[in-house]
Amino acid sequence: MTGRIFQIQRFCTHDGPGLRTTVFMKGCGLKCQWCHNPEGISWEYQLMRNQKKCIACMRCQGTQWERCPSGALQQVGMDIEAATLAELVMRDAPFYGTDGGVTFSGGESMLQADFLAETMALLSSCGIASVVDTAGFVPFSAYEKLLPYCNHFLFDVKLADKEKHRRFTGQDNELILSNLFRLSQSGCRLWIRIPVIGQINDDEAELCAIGRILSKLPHPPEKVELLPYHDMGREKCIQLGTDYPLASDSPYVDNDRLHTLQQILEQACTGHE
Amino acid sequence: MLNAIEHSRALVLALLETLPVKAPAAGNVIAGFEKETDIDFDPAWPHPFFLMTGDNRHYPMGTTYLRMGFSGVAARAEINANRPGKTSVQRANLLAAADEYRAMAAFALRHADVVSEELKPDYIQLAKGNPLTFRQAVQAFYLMWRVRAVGCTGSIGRLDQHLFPFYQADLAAGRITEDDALKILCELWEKFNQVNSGDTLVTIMLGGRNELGEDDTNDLSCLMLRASLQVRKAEPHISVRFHPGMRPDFQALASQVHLMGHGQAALYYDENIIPVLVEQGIPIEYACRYCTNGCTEVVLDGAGKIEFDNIDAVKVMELTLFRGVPPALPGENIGYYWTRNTPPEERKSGLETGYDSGDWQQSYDELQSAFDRQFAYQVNRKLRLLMERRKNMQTYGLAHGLLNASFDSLLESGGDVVRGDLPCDVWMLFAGSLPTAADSLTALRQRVFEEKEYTSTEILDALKSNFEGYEIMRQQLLQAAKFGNDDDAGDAEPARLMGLFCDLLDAFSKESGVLIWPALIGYLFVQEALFTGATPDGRKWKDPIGEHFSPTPGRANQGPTALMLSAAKAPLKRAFGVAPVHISLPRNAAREDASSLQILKNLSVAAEKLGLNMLDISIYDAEIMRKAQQDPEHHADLIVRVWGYSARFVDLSDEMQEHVIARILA
Repeated sequence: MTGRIFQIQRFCTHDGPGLRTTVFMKGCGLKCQWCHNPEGISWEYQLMRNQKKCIACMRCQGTQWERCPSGALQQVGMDIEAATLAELVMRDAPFYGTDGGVTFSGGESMLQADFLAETMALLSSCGIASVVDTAGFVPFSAYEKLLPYCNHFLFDVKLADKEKHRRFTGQDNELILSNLFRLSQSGCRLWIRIPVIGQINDDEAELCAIGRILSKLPHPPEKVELLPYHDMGREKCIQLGTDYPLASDSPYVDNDRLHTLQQILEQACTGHE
Repeated sequence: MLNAIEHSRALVLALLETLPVKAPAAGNVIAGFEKETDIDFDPAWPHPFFLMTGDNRHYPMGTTYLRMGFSGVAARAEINANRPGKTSVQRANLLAAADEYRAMAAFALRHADVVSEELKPDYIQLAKGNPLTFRQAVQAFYLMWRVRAVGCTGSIGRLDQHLFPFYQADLAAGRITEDDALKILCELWEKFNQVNSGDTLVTIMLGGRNELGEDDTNDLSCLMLRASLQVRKAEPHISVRFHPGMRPDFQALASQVHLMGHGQAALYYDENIIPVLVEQGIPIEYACRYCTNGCTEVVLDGAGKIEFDNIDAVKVMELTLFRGVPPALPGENIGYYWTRNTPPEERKSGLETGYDSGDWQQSYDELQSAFDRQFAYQVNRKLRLLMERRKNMQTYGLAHGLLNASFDSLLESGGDVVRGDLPCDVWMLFAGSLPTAADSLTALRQRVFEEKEYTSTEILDALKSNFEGYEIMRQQLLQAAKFGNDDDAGDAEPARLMGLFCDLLDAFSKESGVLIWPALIGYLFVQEALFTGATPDGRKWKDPIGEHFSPTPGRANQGPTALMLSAAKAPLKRAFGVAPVHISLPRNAAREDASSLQILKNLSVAAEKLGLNMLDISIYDAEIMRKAQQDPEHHADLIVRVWGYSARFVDLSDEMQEHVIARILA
């Protein structure tokens, strides 16, 4: 079957264990204000224009990206067969070693769970391990389709408070936390990733609340990481011609603060607040 | 020749009498001068570097003095000089060596007068006999290495192998601890840095397997890597021989050295080098001794010297397109300088202009044929020049006795290293910048002959004007397939050109009877960017050109794995001289943690399986480099890989700094 992706990135060293190829899938049910991959939110094909590369030749007449000589205007999104994607991922097989492999990210890769399952089955038969990076806003049945092929999830937890979650991501977190609980119950490997955005979730109360949620999971997550805000999404929104919706004047979090928050989180996770 | 030998002997003796004797600083143990400025040269002398006619630096010296001591070598040389059957030249060589080694012993003894009471017995021992301890062996090595090429420095070779017996004996006798040895090595490493830094030829090859397939890596190999981790400076340039049976702790240390980000340790793959050397007729015991010669290329430690020349393929591309007469470049100084301290001098490619390789504008086949003819013409010309040099060396070559008698076979025979009396000399031709030349061919194939977007005349006009007024065309050429992205469209032509280069050298070797080692090495890439105009890959005049078998900087954007797979599509083992693939990782892709060590190991192991014979991994932070450009004073410790060596970033020319930044992979 066919899936819709927007990028294949080789030699990824931060998307799971070891050396990985990350496949970015199109489409997401959340609209996180700080999203660093805004081109992954919409299911539709989109155009991105990099003004720095544009030489103003007007060959594209605004939209004909195939005619752009400099690559400044590009289409985001491509449909790809599972077998073709598996083949592309397999190219880096000599480098994966025992711990590396493929990571499906996005967007919300779980929205294309059937496609993922088919691709993972092909890769699994070649000994390539899959990891899924998910924000959790999909029916649990999607995860059930993957569990035979994938037992390692990078699971984003953004905010503990339901209303706050709705305000900053467009949806509440009920389904997300339920999925997290059930995934944990399934015994799969869980790496929790928490993007830390100044003025939004960088306060102690928020991190304690997240920690409390994590402490109640059936199995403690293998790893809990704080990911400091970066503004890659801002430039991408400019290239997409959309507004950057972040409602924070000071979203950056410095290393010292991050370290403090990490300690608070760890204490909360172990129930020692 | 006899007069020349006598003249050389007199110079060495005079030099050894005059050389300064310098005690080590308090707490240190290695005596001997460091910088050339320490020496009060007699202005009437020729510069000591010219004590010989021929290259005295690009290969490791021998090790007789470590086993026999300076006096022992002198005595042996004298005995051998008087053996029957020696020619007058052999006899003169040996007698000169005897005198020079006696002077070397006296030089060592002079140190006994200036060093501490604790060290005095060491230098007395070096004067009268062979080194007995690890410390004495290091002291003897440093004195010899420093005197070998006064005024500059030389290649070192497999120092872990040469010094290990001393370390082992000391350990067995309880005379030394691991920490003691590490301290001595760190001091030696510091001394290398005090002597000079940058393109110094101070290369050390560690580890490797022997002819029985056993791992030669020893505890000293590991300690030397630990010394590099501790000292964290540009010198010495460490390379490591990688093979499946290597010690895991040694491999892990090599990855830790990679994580420093200095472009060391360069990895050489035994399984992709030794069998190929043996296939070429090199005895396995010599093949297993391979090491770096002072830069990236390979030489056989103790078994031969090296002579090389190079050919820059991008310039050949330009000569092809303009039928032997390239357009004049904009009228400014196109001289090069490697470092801020090196004045401009060589301004030519060394290629002959005027050879018309024929029409190329009708089809891609015709273009390929024209390029191949021009390339063959220039390669064969370079090979003829190399053979002329060989003949001259055999007739007029002269090394000083200290160097000659450091080799066992020459100490016996009275032969001369420069004249070619060692068993396995290396004659090598480098082909630099093949990938950039190939990218140019690929861009012409796609844009002119397949898509017919432009005519060849339009392309030539654009090149002549350095793409001024042709920006759309340039962008389209830049978007054509490029080497280094694991894209067959961009990888086919570099592989073909590499095969062509090796075929040409093979044919010449068979015809001449002299084995010419192919190497995909380009060390003049910065200069080449200045003396080659715009090229059809979309590169403007002065824009960087790829070095070695690595992509044009900035053109590989699929990461290091794609780059290595691209390179592996070429028959890399055929370039046994070697075919370096250079990957510069951004610092955020390889942090200093355990996970990064595993990733570096995966890259190293994969390279071997893919058939690479040399891999160089650098890890840089472009932001810090930009800061260093603005504020060199506070970034003097930033070390980067240049080509076969590492250097302080702030010492590099502007062009080289930009080149190093541009090759960081996306």
